[in-house]
Amino acid sequence: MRPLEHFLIQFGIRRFEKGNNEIFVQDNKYFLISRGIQNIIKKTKKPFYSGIYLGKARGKSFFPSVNLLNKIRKKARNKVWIDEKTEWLFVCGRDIFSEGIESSTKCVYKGIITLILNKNSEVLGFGKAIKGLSEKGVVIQNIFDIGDFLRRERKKK
Amino acid sequence: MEKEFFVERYRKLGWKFYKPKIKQAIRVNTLKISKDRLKKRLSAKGIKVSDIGFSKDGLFVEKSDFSIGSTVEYLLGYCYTQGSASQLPAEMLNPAQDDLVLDCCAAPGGKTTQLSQLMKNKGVIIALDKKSQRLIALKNNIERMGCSNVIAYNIDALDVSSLSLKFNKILLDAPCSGNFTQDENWFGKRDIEGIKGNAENQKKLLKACFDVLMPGGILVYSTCSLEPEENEDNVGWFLENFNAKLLEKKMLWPSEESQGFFIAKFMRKK
Repeated sequence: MRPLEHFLIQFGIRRFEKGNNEIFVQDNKYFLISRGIQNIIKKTKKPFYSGIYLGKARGKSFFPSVNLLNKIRKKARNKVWIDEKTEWLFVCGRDIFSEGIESSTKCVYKGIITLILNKNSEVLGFGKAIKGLSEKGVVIQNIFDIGDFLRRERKKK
Repeated sequence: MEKEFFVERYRKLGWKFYKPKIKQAIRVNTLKISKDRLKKRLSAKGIKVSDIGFSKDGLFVEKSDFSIGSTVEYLLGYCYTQGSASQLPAEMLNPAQDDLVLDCCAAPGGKTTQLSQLMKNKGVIIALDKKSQRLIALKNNIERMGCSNVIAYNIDALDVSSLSLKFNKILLDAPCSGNFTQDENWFGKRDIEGIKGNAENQKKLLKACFDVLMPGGILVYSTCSLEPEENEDNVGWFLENFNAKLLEKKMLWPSEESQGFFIAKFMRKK
Protein backbone atom coordinates (compact mmCIF):
# COMPACT_ATOMS: atom_id res chain seq x y z
CA MET A 1 0.00 0.00 0.00
CA ARG A 2 1.25 3.47 -0.83
CA PRO A 3 2.23 5.75 2.05
CA LEU A 4 -0.64 8.25 1.59
CA GLU A 5 -3.25 5.50 1.46
CA HIS A 6 -1.67 3.81 4.44
CA PHE A 7 -1.90 7.03 6.40
CA LEU A 8 -5.55 7.65 5.47
CA ILE A 9 -6.70 4.13 6.28
CA GLN A 10 -5.76 4.76 9.91
CA PHE A 11 -8.60 7.30 9.96
CA GLY A 12 -11.00 4.92 8.26
CA ILE A 13 -10.65 6.64 4.88
CA ARG A 14 -10.32 4.19 2.00
CA ARG A 15 -10.57 6.64 -0.84
CA PHE A 16 -9.18 10.14 -0.97
CA GLU A 17 -11.63 12.59 -2.57
CA LYS A 18 -9.68 14.36 -5.29
CA GLY A 19 -12.60 16.02 -7.04
CA ASN A 20 -11.42 17.25 -10.44
CA ASN A 21 -7.84 17.41 -9.17
CA GLU A 22 -4.88 15.11 -9.60
CA ILE A 23 -2.23 13.95 -7.14
CA PHE A 24 1.21 14.98 -8.28
CA VAL A 25 4.25 13.43 -6.59
CA GLN A 26 7.64 15.07 -6.77
CA ASP A 27 10.68 14.10 -4.66
CA ASN A 28 8.39 12.12 -2.31
CA LYS A 29 6.24 15.22 -1.78
CA TYR A 30 2.54 14.88 -2.60
CA PHE A 31 0.53 17.74 -4.07
CA LEU A 32 -3.11 17.98 -5.09
CA ILE A 33 -3.26 20.03 -8.27
CA SER A 34 -6.06 21.53 -10.35
CA ARG A 35 -6.35 21.10 -14.11
CA GLY A 36 -5.08 24.66 -14.63
CA ILE A 37 -1.95 23.88 -12.63
CA GLN A 38 -1.46 20.53 -14.39
CA ASN A 39 -1.50 22.29 -17.77
CA ILE A 40 1.23 24.69 -16.70
CA ILE A 41 3.43 22.10 -15.01
CA LYS A 42 3.40 19.98 -18.19
CA LYS A 43 4.89 22.90 -20.11
CA THR A 44 7.45 24.18 -17.63
CA LYS A 45 10.43 23.07 -15.61
CA LYS A 46 10.17 21.28 -12.27
CA PRO A 47 8.29 23.41 -9.73
CA PHE A 48 9.31 23.81 -6.12
CA TYR A 49 5.70 23.77 -4.94
CA SER A 50 2.32 23.41 -6.61
CA GLY A 51 -1.35 23.44 -5.65
CA ILE A 52 -2.16 21.95 -2.26
CA TYR A 53 0.68 20.31 -0.38
CA LEU A 54 -0.57 17.03 1.12
CA GLY A 55 2.58 15.81 2.82
CA LYS A 56 5.70 13.80 2.22
CA ALA A 57 6.60 10.14 2.26
CA ARG A 58 9.69 8.75 3.90
CA GLY A 59 9.94 5.02 3.39
CA LYS A 60 6.56 3.58 4.28
CA SER A 61 5.70 6.51 6.56
CA PHE A 62 3.68 9.50 5.50
CA PHE A 63 4.02 12.93 7.13
CA PRO A 64 0.79 14.82 6.43
CA SER A 65 0.41 18.54 5.94
CA VAL A 66 -2.15 20.64 7.78
CA ASN A 67 -4.03 20.87 4.46
CA LEU A 68 -4.45 17.10 4.32
CA LEU A 69 -5.65 16.94 7.92
CA ASN A 70 -8.22 19.63 7.12
CA LYS A 71 -9.33 17.76 4.03
CA ILE A 72 -10.04 14.56 5.97
CA ARG A 73 -11.63 16.31 8.95
CA LYS A 74 -15.21 15.46 8.06
CA LYS A 75 -14.64 11.87 6.99
CA ALA A 76 -12.12 10.83 9.62
CA ARG A 77 -13.50 8.25 12.00
CA ASN A 78 -11.23 9.01 14.92
CA LYS A 79 -11.60 12.47 16.41
CA VAL A 80 -10.97 14.00 19.82
CA TRP A 81 -12.16 17.45 20.91
CA ILE A 82 -10.12 19.25 23.54
CA ASP A 83 -10.74 22.26 25.79
CA GLU A 84 -9.24 25.71 25.35
CA LYS A 85 -6.43 25.33 27.87
CA THR A 86 -5.37 22.00 26.38
CA GLU A 87 -5.62 23.50 22.87
CA TRP A 88 -2.75 25.88 23.61
CA LEU A 89 -0.64 23.22 25.30
CA PHE A 90 -1.20 20.87 22.36
CA VAL A 91 -0.12 23.42 19.73
CA CYS A 92 2.99 23.95 21.86
CA GLY A 93 3.82 20.31 21.21
CA ARG A 94 2.53 18.84 24.48
CA ASP A 95 0.67 15.58 25.00
CA ILE A 96 -2.97 15.51 26.11
CA PHE A 97 -4.19 14.62 29.61
CA SER A 98 -7.60 13.00 30.04
CA GLU A 99 -8.88 16.11 31.88
CA GLY A 100 -8.39 18.19 28.74
CA ILE A 101 -10.65 16.04 26.59
CA GLU A 102 -14.17 17.34 26.03
CA SER A 103 -15.47 14.58 23.77
CA SER A 104 -14.44 12.03 21.19
CA THR A 105 -15.81 9.67 18.60
CA LYS A 106 -16.47 6.14 19.84
CA CYS A 107 -13.62 4.43 18.07
CA VAL A 108 -10.72 6.15 19.83
CA TYR A 109 -9.00 3.64 22.10
CA LYS A 110 -5.44 2.60 22.97
CA GLY A 111 -3.17 2.44 19.93
CA ILE A 112 -5.46 4.47 17.64
CA ILE A 113 -4.30 7.50 15.66
CA THR A 114 -6.74 10.37 16.01
CA LEU A 115 -7.35 13.89 14.77
CA ILE A 116 -7.30 16.54 17.48
CA LEU A 117 -9.85 19.34 17.23
CA ASN A 118 -10.71 22.38 19.34
CA LYS A 119 -14.17 23.45 20.51
CA ASN A 120 -14.81 25.04 17.08
CA SER A 121 -13.96 21.72 15.38
CA GLU A 122 -10.82 23.24 13.86
CA VAL A 123 -8.03 20.76 13.24
CA LEU A 124 -5.07 21.29 15.55
CA GLY A 125 -3.08 18.20 14.59
CA PHE A 126 -3.12 14.51 15.33
CA GLY A 127 -1.87 12.11 17.96
CA LYS A 128 -1.90 8.56 19.20
CA ALA A 129 -4.05 7.27 22.05
CA ILE A 130 -1.65 5.58 24.44
CA LYS A 131 -4.35 4.63 26.97
CA GLY A 132 -8.09 4.61 27.26
CA LEU A 133 -9.27 8.24 27.16
CA SER A 134 -10.87 8.07 30.61
CA GLU A 135 -7.73 6.80 32.33
CA LYS A 136 -5.57 9.18 34.38
CA GLY A 137 -2.54 11.08 33.12
CA VAL A 138 -1.38 11.50 29.54
CA VAL A 139 -3.76 9.66 27.24
CA ILE A 140 -2.84 11.04 23.81
CA GLN A 141 0.66 11.49 22.56
CA ASN A 142 1.16 14.49 20.27
CA ILE A 143 2.47 13.45 16.85
CA PHE A 144 1.96 16.63 14.86
CA ASP A 145 0.32 19.99 15.57
CA ILE A 146 -0.15 23.35 13.85
CA GLY A 147 2.41 24.95 16.18
CA ASP A 148 4.85 23.38 13.78
CA PHE A 149 4.46 26.50 11.62
CA LEU A 150 6.06 28.57 14.38
CA ARG A 151 8.73 25.97 15.09
CA ARG A 152 9.66 25.93 11.39
CA GLU A 153 10.04 29.74 11.44
CA ARG A 154 12.27 29.57 14.50
CA LYS A 155 14.35 26.79 12.99
CA LYS A 156 14.85 28.92 9.90
CA LYS A 157 16.36 31.75 11.97
CA MET B 1 26.60 59.59 3.14
CA GLU B 2 25.09 61.85 5.76
CA LYS B 3 21.64 61.36 7.17
CA GLU B 4 21.06 65.05 6.41
CA PHE B 5 21.45 64.37 2.69
CA PHE B 6 18.50 61.97 2.73
CA VAL B 7 16.43 64.08 5.11
CA GLU B 8 16.92 67.10 2.86
CA ARG B 9 15.90 65.26 -0.29
CA TYR B 10 12.77 63.92 1.45
CA ARG B 11 11.92 67.52 2.34
CA LYS B 12 12.36 68.54 -1.31
CA LEU B 13 10.07 65.68 -2.32
CA GLY B 14 7.43 67.05 0.04
CA TRP B 15 7.83 65.10 3.31
CA LYS B 16 9.18 66.37 6.60
CA PHE B 17 11.34 63.71 8.26
CA TYR B 18 10.32 62.22 11.59
CA LYS B 19 10.45 58.76 13.13
CA PRO B 20 6.90 57.46 13.46
CA LYS B 21 5.87 54.64 15.77
CA ILE B 22 4.19 52.44 13.22
CA LYS B 23 1.13 50.43 14.22
CA GLN B 24 1.33 46.70 13.71
CA ALA B 25 -0.99 45.45 10.99
CA ILE B 26 -2.42 42.12 9.94
CA ARG B 27 -4.35 40.93 6.90
CA VAL B 28 -7.43 38.79 7.42
CA ASN B 29 -7.31 35.62 5.33
CA THR B 30 -10.78 35.70 3.81
CA LEU B 31 -10.14 32.28 2.24
CA LYS B 32 -10.65 30.91 5.75
CA ILE B 33 -12.54 33.44 7.88
CA SER B 34 -14.49 36.69 7.59
CA LYS B 35 -13.11 39.92 8.97
CA ASP B 36 -15.95 40.20 11.51
CA ARG B 37 -15.47 36.66 12.79
CA LEU B 38 -11.74 37.13 13.25
CA LYS B 39 -12.32 40.45 15.01
CA LYS B 40 -14.64 38.71 17.48
CA ARG B 41 -12.18 35.89 18.13
CA LEU B 42 -9.28 38.27 18.71
CA SER B 43 -11.43 40.49 20.89
CA ALA B 44 -12.31 37.47 23.07
CA LYS B 45 -8.56 37.11 23.68
CA GLY B 46 -8.21 40.77 24.64
CA ILE B 47 -6.66 41.80 21.33
CA LYS B 48 -8.02 45.13 20.15
CA VAL B 49 -8.02 45.72 16.40
CA SER B 50 -9.37 48.40 14.07
CA ASP B 51 -9.97 48.60 10.34
CA ILE B 52 -7.26 49.90 8.04
CA GLY B 53 -9.17 52.45 6.03
CA PHE B 54 -7.12 52.03 2.87
CA SER B 55 -6.84 48.24 2.77
CA LYS B 56 -10.02 46.17 2.55
CA ASP B 57 -8.85 43.09 4.46
CA GLY B 58 -6.38 44.81 6.76
CA LEU B 59 -6.59 45.42 10.51
CA PHE B 60 -4.42 47.49 12.80
CA VAL B 61 -3.47 45.84 16.09
CA GLU B 62 -4.30 48.60 18.57
CA LYS B 63 -3.62 46.60 21.73
CA SER B 64 -2.31 43.12 22.41
CA ASP B 65 -0.46 41.77 25.43
CA PHE B 66 1.16 39.05 23.33
CA SER B 67 2.29 38.47 19.79
CA ILE B 68 -0.43 37.79 17.22
CA GLY B 69 1.99 35.25 15.77
CA SER B 70 1.56 33.08 18.82
CA THR B 71 -2.21 32.77 18.69
CA VAL B 72 -4.13 29.74 17.49
CA GLU B 73 -5.85 32.04 14.96
CA TYR B 74 -2.49 32.81 13.36
CA LEU B 75 -1.51 29.13 13.30
CA LEU B 76 -4.87 28.26 11.74
CA GLY B 77 -4.01 30.67 8.92
CA TYR B 78 -6.73 33.19 9.72
CA CYS B 79 -4.34 36.13 9.42
CA TYR B 80 -0.96 37.18 8.09
CA THR B 81 1.26 39.75 9.78
CA GLN B 82 1.68 42.26 6.98
CA GLY B 83 2.36 46.00 7.04
CA SER B 84 -0.61 48.12 6.01
CA ALA B 85 1.15 49.69 2.99
CA SER B 86 2.45 46.37 1.74
CA GLN B 87 -1.15 45.21 1.45
CA LEU B 88 -1.76 47.75 -1.30
CA PRO B 89 0.22 46.44 -4.32
CA ALA B 90 -1.82 43.20 -4.59
CA GLU B 91 -5.05 45.16 -4.16
CA MET B 92 -3.98 47.57 -6.89
CA LEU B 93 -3.16 44.67 -9.22
CA ASN B 94 -6.77 43.53 -8.67
CA PRO B 95 -6.38 40.01 -10.10
CA ALA B 96 -9.43 38.25 -11.56
CA GLN B 97 -10.38 34.65 -10.84
CA ASP B 98 -9.33 33.43 -14.29
CA ASP B 99 -6.03 35.32 -14.50
CA LEU B 100 -2.56 33.88 -14.87
CA VAL B 101 -0.62 36.03 -12.42
CA LEU B 102 3.12 36.35 -11.92
CA ASP B 103 4.52 37.25 -8.51
CA CYS B 104 8.22 37.99 -8.91
CA CYS B 105 10.49 37.90 -5.84
CA ALA B 106 7.62 36.22 -3.98
CA ALA B 107 9.11 34.90 -0.73
CA PRO B 108 8.13 34.88 2.10
CA GLY B 109 4.69 34.99 0.53
CA GLY B 110 2.73 37.89 2.04
CA LYS B 111 1.68 39.19 -1.33
CA THR B 112 1.41 35.73 -2.96
CA THR B 113 -1.08 34.57 -0.34
CA GLN B 114 -2.93 37.89 -0.63
CA LEU B 115 -3.22 37.45 -4.42
CA SER B 116 -4.52 33.95 -3.83
CA GLN B 117 -7.17 35.29 -1.50
CA LEU B 118 -8.17 38.06 -3.93
CA MET B 119 -8.53 35.38 -6.64
CA LYS B 120 -10.56 33.17 -4.27
CA ASN B 121 -8.08 30.35 -4.91
CA LYS B 122 -9.01 30.32 -8.62
CA GLY B 123 -6.81 30.98 -11.67
CA VAL B 124 -3.08 30.35 -11.29
CA ILE B 125 -0.29 32.31 -9.60
CA ILE B 126 3.30 31.70 -10.59
CA ALA B 127 5.52 32.67 -7.65
CA LEU B 128 9.26 33.03 -8.17
CA ASP B 129 12.18 33.42 -5.88
CA LYS B 130 15.83 32.90 -6.63
CA LYS B 131 16.75 31.83 -3.09
CA SER B 132 15.67 28.27 -2.30
CA GLN B 133 15.89 28.90 1.45
CA ARG B 134 13.33 31.70 1.11
CA LEU B 135 11.04 29.41 -0.85
CA ILE B 136 10.68 27.23 2.25
CA ALA B 137 9.15 30.20 4.06
CA LEU B 138 6.88 30.75 1.04
CA LYS B 139 5.78 27.10 1.11
CA ASN B 140 5.00 27.28 4.84
CA ASN B 141 2.90 30.39 4.39
CA ILE B 142 1.02 29.00 1.39
CA GLU B 143 0.24 25.90 3.43
CA ARG B 144 -0.80 27.82 6.54
CA MET B 145 -3.02 30.21 4.58
CA GLY B 146 -4.71 27.38 2.65
CA CYS B 147 -3.82 28.63 -0.84
CA SER B 148 -4.32 26.12 -3.63
CA ASN B 149 -3.65 28.06 -6.85
CA VAL B 150 0.09 28.72 -6.55
CA ILE B 151 3.01 27.17 -8.41
CA ALA B 152 6.38 28.23 -7.00
CA TYR B 153 9.65 27.99 -8.88
CA ASN B 154 13.21 28.45 -7.75
CA ILE B 155 13.95 30.90 -10.55
CA ASP B 156 15.43 34.37 -10.65
CA ALA B 157 12.71 36.72 -11.94
CA LEU B 158 15.27 37.94 -14.48
CA ASP B 159 14.95 34.50 -16.12
CA VAL B 160 11.14 34.38 -16.09
CA SER B 161 11.04 34.10 -19.89
CA SER B 162 12.53 30.57 -19.49
CA LEU B 163 9.04 29.45 -18.37
CA SER B 164 7.61 30.37 -21.82
CA LEU B 165 4.45 31.77 -20.24
CA LYS B 166 2.63 35.05 -20.83
CA PHE B 167 0.78 36.70 -17.97
CA ASN B 168 -2.33 38.86 -17.64
CA LYS B 169 -1.13 40.40 -14.40
CA ILE B 170 2.31 40.81 -12.86
CA LEU B 171 3.31 41.96 -9.40
CA LEU B 172 6.89 43.12 -9.12
CA ASP B 173 7.58 43.97 -5.50
CA ALA B 174 11.21 44.62 -6.25
CA PRO B 175 14.18 44.11 -3.93
CA CYS B 176 15.10 47.63 -2.84
CA SER B 177 17.10 49.73 -0.41
CA GLY B 178 14.27 49.68 2.12
CA ASN B 179 13.91 52.63 4.45
CA PHE B 180 14.82 53.82 7.92
CA THR B 181 11.60 52.59 9.54
CA GLN B 182 12.73 48.97 9.15
CA ASP B 183 16.34 49.46 10.22
CA GLU B 184 17.65 51.65 13.04
CA ASN B 185 20.98 52.01 11.28
CA TRP B 186 19.60 52.53 7.77
CA PHE B 187 21.29 55.91 7.27
CA GLY B 188 24.63 54.49 8.35
CA LYS B 189 24.44 51.63 5.87
CA ARG B 190 23.15 53.28 2.72
CA ASP B 191 24.76 55.52 0.16
CA ILE B 192 23.69 56.93 -3.17
CA GLU B 193 25.86 54.49 -5.15
CA GLY B 194 24.15 51.49 -3.54
CA ILE B 195 20.76 53.04 -4.21
CA LYS B 196 21.65 53.60 -7.87
CA GLY B 197 22.86 49.99 -8.09
CA ASN B 198 19.51 48.76 -6.76
CA ALA B 199 17.71 51.01 -9.25
CA GLU B 200 19.64 49.38 -12.10
CA ASN B 201 18.63 45.90 -10.92
CA GLN B 202 15.04 47.05 -10.70
CA LYS B 203 15.19 48.27 -14.32
CA LYS B 204 16.37 44.81 -15.39
CA LEU B 205 13.47 43.25 -13.51
CA LEU B 206 10.99 45.69 -15.07
CA LYS B 207 12.27 44.74 -18.52
CA ALA B 208 12.03 40.99 -17.75
CA CYS B 209 8.44 41.51 -16.58
CA PHE B 210 7.45 43.56 -19.61
CA ASP B 211 8.73 40.80 -21.90
CA VAL B 212 6.27 38.26 -20.41
CA LEU B 213 3.30 40.60 -19.98
CA MET B 214 0.43 40.14 -22.46
CA PRO B 215 -0.70 43.17 -24.47
CA GLY B 216 -3.37 44.85 -22.35
CA GLY B 217 -1.90 43.16 -19.27
CA ILE B 218 -1.28 44.94 -15.97
CA LEU B 219 2.03 45.34 -14.15
CA VAL B 220 2.25 46.67 -10.61
CA TYR B 221 5.71 47.77 -9.52
CA SER B 222 6.39 48.50 -5.85
CA THR B 223 9.24 49.15 -3.46
CA CYS B 224 9.52 50.11 0.19
CA SER B 225 12.25 52.57 -0.71
CA LEU B 226 11.81 56.32 -0.29
CA GLU B 227 14.52 57.11 -2.83
CA PRO B 228 13.47 58.64 -6.16
CA GLU B 229 16.02 56.60 -8.16
CA GLU B 230 14.11 53.43 -7.22
CA ASN B 231 10.66 54.96 -7.63
CA GLU B 232 9.81 57.97 -9.83
CA ASP B 233 12.99 57.71 -11.90
CA ASN B 234 12.34 54.04 -12.68
CA VAL B 235 8.75 54.85 -13.66
CA GLY B 236 10.03 57.55 -16.04
CA TRP B 237 12.62 55.19 -17.52
CA PHE B 238 10.02 52.44 -18.00
CA LEU B 239 7.56 54.74 -19.78
CA GLU B 240 10.31 56.07 -22.05
CA ASN B 241 11.58 52.66 -23.07
CA PHE B 242 8.52 50.40 -23.22
CA ASN B 243 5.11 50.52 -24.83
CA ALA B 244 3.30 50.99 -21.53
CA LYS B 245 0.86 53.43 -19.99
CA LEU B 246 0.89 54.58 -16.37
CA LEU B 247 -2.53 53.97 -14.81
CA GLU B 248 -1.91 54.91 -11.17
CA LYS B 249 0.89 55.89 -8.83
CA LYS B 250 1.08 56.16 -5.04
CA MET B 251 3.80 57.34 -2.68
CA LEU B 252 3.17 56.61 0.97
CA TRP B 253 5.59 58.38 3.28
CA PRO B 254 6.24 56.84 6.69
CA SER B 255 3.55 57.61 9.25
CA GLU B 256 1.95 56.00 12.30
CA GLU B 257 -0.24 54.07 9.88
CA SER B 258 2.33 52.75 7.43
CA GLN B 259 5.96 52.33 6.57
CA GLY B 260 7.04 54.13 3.41
CA PHE B 261 5.96 52.56 0.14
CA PHE B 262 5.88 53.38 -3.54
CA ILE B 263 3.50 51.73 -6.01
CA ALA B 264 3.03 52.25 -9.76
CA LYS B 265 0.49 50.49 -11.96
CA PHE B 266 1.09 50.14 -15.70
CA MET B 267 -0.76 48.64 -18.64
CA ARG B 268 1.06 47.17 -21.60
CA LYS B 269 -0.38 48.92 -24.64
CA LYS B 270 -2.01 46.68 -27.27
